[in-house]
Amino acid sequence: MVQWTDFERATIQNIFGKIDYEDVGPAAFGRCLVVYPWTQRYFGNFGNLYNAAAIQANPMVAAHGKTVLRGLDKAVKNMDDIKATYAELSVLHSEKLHVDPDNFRLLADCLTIVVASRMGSDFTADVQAAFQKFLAVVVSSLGRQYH
Amino acid sequence: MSLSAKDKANVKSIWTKIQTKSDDIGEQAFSRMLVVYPQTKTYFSHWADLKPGSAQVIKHGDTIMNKIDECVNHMEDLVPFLSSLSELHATKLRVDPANFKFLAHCLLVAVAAYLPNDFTPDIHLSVDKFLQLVALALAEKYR
Repeated sequence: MVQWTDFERATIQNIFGKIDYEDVGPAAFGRCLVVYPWTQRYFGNFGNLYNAAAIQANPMVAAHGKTVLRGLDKAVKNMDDIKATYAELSVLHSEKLHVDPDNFRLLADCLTIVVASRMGSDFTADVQAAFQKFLAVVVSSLGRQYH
Repeated sequence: MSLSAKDKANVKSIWTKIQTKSDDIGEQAFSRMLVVYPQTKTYFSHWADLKPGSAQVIKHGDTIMNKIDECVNHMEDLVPFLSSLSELHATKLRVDPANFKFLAHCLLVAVAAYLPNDFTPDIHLSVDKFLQLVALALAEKYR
């Protein structure tokens, strides 16, 4: 089981309490599609992903970004058993969606960068470390049921 | 993955803004890496103080950032430009090149924190590619 320090718990609750899911979700997911364009392979039915402007204006991208953040919220509320929390989602991403789990790490990196841009100097090195540890657990849990 | 003309233009453009805070960003990137990826501290066990804000951390962050700043003017010839530095990292420092991406990521985070409005997804893409090529050039002499 993952051990969280008081600082880490407080930091995660604080960040997710502060950020606007409707803003950060679409920003992070859209950024991932731009910076790592091969991730677009899973979204053939999303319409126009031709360039960054199109991606940022795409309503399906925005909707999916919000879905992802709401999914992350489950882990924020269940930090002591993220693995169990994501067991079903892991099966879904593996068996039905066939997503290469390395993509979860790429999205996590983009989310870190978006949160850094929203928080500025409040996103200290210690806060970054806690955030990345949380995301690493999420990423690992999402990849757990692949076989 | 090589740099297109657009990538080079993007890197040069964001770097004019980065230059104005180059010391801060360099120091942030390096000190963040030591905190967020603690395994990187193993290369600096001979330093007295590895905490953000310590004199050695600040100085080394500046050193690294100054070199990356110069790389922006050498995007066409990164490998020859970084040849002696690659030699140093390969034969003397023997830093596992897997670590270069940790510093690159922390540099992206620092730039995002300092220049949130300028660090658009397109710019992020170009800078990410640029830093990967810098890392590759730095690893050139390893084997």
